[in-house]
Amino acid sequence: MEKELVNTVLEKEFNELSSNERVALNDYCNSEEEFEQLKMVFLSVESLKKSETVQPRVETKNSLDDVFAQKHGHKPRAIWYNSALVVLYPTEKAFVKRPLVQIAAAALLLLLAYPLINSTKIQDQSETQLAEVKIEKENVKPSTTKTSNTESESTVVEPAIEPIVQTRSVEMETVYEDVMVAAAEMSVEEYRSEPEAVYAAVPVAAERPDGIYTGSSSVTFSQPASAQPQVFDLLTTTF
Amino acid sequence: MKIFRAQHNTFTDEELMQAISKGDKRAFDELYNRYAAALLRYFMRMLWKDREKSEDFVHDLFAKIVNKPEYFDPTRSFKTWVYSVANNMCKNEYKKAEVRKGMSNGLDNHYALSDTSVNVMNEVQDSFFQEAFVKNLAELDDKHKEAFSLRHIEGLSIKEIAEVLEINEGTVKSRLFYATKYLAESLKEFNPIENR
Repeated sequence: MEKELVNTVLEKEFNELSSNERVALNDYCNSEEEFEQLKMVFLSVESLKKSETVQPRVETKNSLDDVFAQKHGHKPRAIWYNSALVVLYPTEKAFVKRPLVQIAAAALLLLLAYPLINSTKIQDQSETQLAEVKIEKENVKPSTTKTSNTESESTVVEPAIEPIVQTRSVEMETVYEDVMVAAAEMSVEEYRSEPEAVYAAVPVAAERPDGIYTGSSSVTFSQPASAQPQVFDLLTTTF
Repeated sequence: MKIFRAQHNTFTDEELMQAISKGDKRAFDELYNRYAAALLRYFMRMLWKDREKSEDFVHDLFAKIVNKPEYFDPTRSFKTWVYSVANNMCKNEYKKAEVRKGMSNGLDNHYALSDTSVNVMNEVQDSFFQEAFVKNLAELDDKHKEAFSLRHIEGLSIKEIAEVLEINEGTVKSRLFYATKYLAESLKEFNPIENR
């Protein structure tokens, strides 16, 4: 049934119907009784529509919001710069009247003006520096004789300094007389029995201040691990 | 924020669906505001006034919109599509109810639901006449009930109902005629002319 017919049924009485309307309603009602029954149906529908005020629960919407967040990966967040942008760059204003444009223009002017301001400062500084240098030059002339004297004095003192190697060799003999150093797997005797092998290239004690000395000959001194493969193996197995 | 909301208000349902598929939350909120209440009432009418089930169905329907927006054909009307989905959900529920009825020990599963529906309606309206109408509408068989609801309560056109129910327009008219006649006949006892 068309909407117009429903409205006709709702708005009119049976005796008010035109002949066209009666023809249109012929399938549904032929008598006043049937017309009234039909009217009641549509009145019931109207009142049902008005009385149906049921709304979905908040939980349903919240659950759907979660589904949406899961599907699209994130919950919508307010972007902080959006509000700042609205204030600084309002699109409804003319381009030159936008605060962000004005700030940018001012910054550009400052940037361009900076070298000019700075150059005058540099000029002032260079002038003052030149003046200082002149004053210094004037003051320097009488002091040159003094420095030459100190230089001659220092050359006299130099021979009094003893070489480090010499003093160490004398002192070490007394301090490390009984000290014996050996590798973990080798005894001091082994070292002593084969002095040629271990110290094939032993330099004079005075030339190796890092050496450890017993009596007149050195026992050991620092040398690369490749010179003693036994110790090298030990180190590698330990670590 | 207000500007964006105003824009969504002016969107058509189909435009909102496109926005939803791109992850626009406000579009989803707008669509929900437009259809959730109407769909809940539709489900309640079709599912024996079962509020819980109707809420679940509304949730499932909108979850489908969120998860599978590609199911919607943009060339079609959203209103027609959403009611056809709702109608199919109801049909599936009827089938399940039939299976449950067959497996039950002779007790009618809808008895309790129908009973609560009367209580729900009592809360909403105290008119006995309206109760009778609702009762008779609920008693209509499903295909006539859905045609009548879609036409006179949801306000769909004959063509839209034909699309929703996937039947031709002649069949829609026939079902509407039958449903209207049945309801008119069932409300005979309240006819003021007959009771004179």
